[in-house]
Amino acid sequence: MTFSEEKVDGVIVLGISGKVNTEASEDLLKKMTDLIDNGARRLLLDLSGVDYINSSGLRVFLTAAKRMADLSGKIVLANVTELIYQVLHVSGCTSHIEVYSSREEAFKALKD
Amino acid sequence: MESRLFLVLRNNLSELKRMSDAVSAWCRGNNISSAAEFHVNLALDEIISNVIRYGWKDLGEHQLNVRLSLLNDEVTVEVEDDATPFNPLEVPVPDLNRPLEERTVGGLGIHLVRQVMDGLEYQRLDGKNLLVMKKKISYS
Repeated sequence: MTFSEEKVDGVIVLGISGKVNTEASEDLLKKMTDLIDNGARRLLLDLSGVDYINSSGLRVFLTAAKRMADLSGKIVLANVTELIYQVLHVSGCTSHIEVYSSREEAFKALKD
Repeated sequence: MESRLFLVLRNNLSELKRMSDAVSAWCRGNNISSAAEFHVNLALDEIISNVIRYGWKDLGEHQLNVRLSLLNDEVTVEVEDDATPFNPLEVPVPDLNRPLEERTVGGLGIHLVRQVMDGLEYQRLDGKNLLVMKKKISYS
């Protein structure tokens, strides 16, 4: 798994690529915790490069989304492939985190 | 023509990568669709990591046997281990609307397995857990 990070109009865009497996989930949790600790309150996760996720990865998303909500911030997901969306849906993640098919829609949701 | 893959894993989480590499190579070699490859890998990942984490009370080395076979557009995945008796079919369906911290550990992973596979059967046989999972597949 690899990350790319940029800041656009106050939104942190974290691009994630590769496999979000158990080992990678530890790195992802650390990365997202660091971003939130450093003041990020609007976070866009671009999952276009993610071709695998398991329950450890889903738990990281849910944990970070919960923490962000407690801080009156927001995390949204963008560019989710059909296979990854299916797992997000059956695990109930889509009830807790908004998922958008494009970056543009995700940006709009973070600005509303 | 039946195609088979047989893996012997140690009870160490570092084995998960070796397993997923071997499973992916086998799936691709059999032209199994990327969706089915993902689901078989996910089911094995969740089951095996659960057994390795919670299956043994001692710190000794144990072995898990994983067998995959492809016949008539269906992949059969068998996981055999001598860990504490554990029937994943008895794990309650998690309440997905409850906050994460109130849910049972491991419940989400087993729920995913039940969702992405087409059939699960569990037996305790000769002091071993045997889980048989089925997945109907399409080809790439």
